[in-house]
Amino acid sequence: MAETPHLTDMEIQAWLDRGLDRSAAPAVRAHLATCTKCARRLEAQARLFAEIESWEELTPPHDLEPRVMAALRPPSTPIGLRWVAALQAGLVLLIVALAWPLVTSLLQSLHLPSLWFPTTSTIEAWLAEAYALTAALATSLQALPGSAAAWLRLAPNWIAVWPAVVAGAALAAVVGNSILLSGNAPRSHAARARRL
Amino acid sequence: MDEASDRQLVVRTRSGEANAFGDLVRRYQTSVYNVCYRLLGDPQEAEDLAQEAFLRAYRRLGSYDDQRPFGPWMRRVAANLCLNALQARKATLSFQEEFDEVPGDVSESPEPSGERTEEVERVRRALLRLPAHYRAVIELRHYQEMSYDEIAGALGIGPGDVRTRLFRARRMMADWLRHNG
Repeated sequence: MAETPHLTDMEIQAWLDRGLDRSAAPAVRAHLATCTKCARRLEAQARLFAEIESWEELTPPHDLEPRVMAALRPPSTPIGLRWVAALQAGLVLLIVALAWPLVTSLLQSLHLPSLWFPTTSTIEAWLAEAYALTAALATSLQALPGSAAAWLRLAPNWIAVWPAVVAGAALAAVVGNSILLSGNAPRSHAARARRL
Repeated sequence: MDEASDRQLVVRTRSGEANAFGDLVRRYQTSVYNVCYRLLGDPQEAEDLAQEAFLRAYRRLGSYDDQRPFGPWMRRVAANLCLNALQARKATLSFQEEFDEVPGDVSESPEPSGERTEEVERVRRALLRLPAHYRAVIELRHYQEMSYDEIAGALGIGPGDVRTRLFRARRMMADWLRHNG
């Protein structure tokens, strides 16, 4: 009976990896059972495999758990800032409610000229329209103190402090939003965690 | 008190208990870090990618089949992430550069976890001296115990190429070990 050719190193490795085709495996098994030379080479390859797999695990330089957990935690807004934001929203609603009569009275006193149907297409006509608009705005501004005074007469006494309310709300909005934005600017979770 | 199983920790994480995932991180950080270190060859990069791997795993926990062991799945996530990083790195290198690329200085690697024998140290050096694409097949075959077909799928190459790369990688390691014995 003719001797089968010796196995190549690649075939031996594929045998150890259980990566041989099903059709090829029986022949390799039979050869290894009879060929001492290939059986020794198989042992040598198996030793190399064992050597490679003898990698001893290294400990990470730093504990990853706090970093991962910090990156997973959603950016939280401190409770105080949440109250500031809620207060801002309330103040804005209050200002809108208080200012509504003033706004409507101003709109009524403002007689804007029409720019949609100019009488001529000449530059003089446009200038005339612009002059008319300026005049109308000046008239409205002159009427402003009167309108405000009328509104204040309509409003209850305590609403007379509305300029302070507006100023306070504006201040709260500016300060509160600045704090919120500076403390919660969007940034990569991983980058945030890496800084820890 | 008995330590919670991986499956219990996964279930608790899914139900919104993020601290349970912290326990999983503590449990698997060493093995995940080692996957990254073997593939990337750089301790700092390995640490960053290991962290990123846990974040990715957390986001993909919905697709994890909790009937299967968590450890291999977690290490697979880390390996995929590192392979993507190597792929991106390869895109910026020519083939020859990538082939020649070896970690800067393997003596700068982290401290061993215990008494490291000379033999284990030699193996570590031999592996880290391999080009990245050879380290990848060694990692997936020997440490992740993937089949040729699975490795081929992960690396986007044919099973024949997997066999060839494994053969060459092992030969390079064997040569280095023989000359540095």
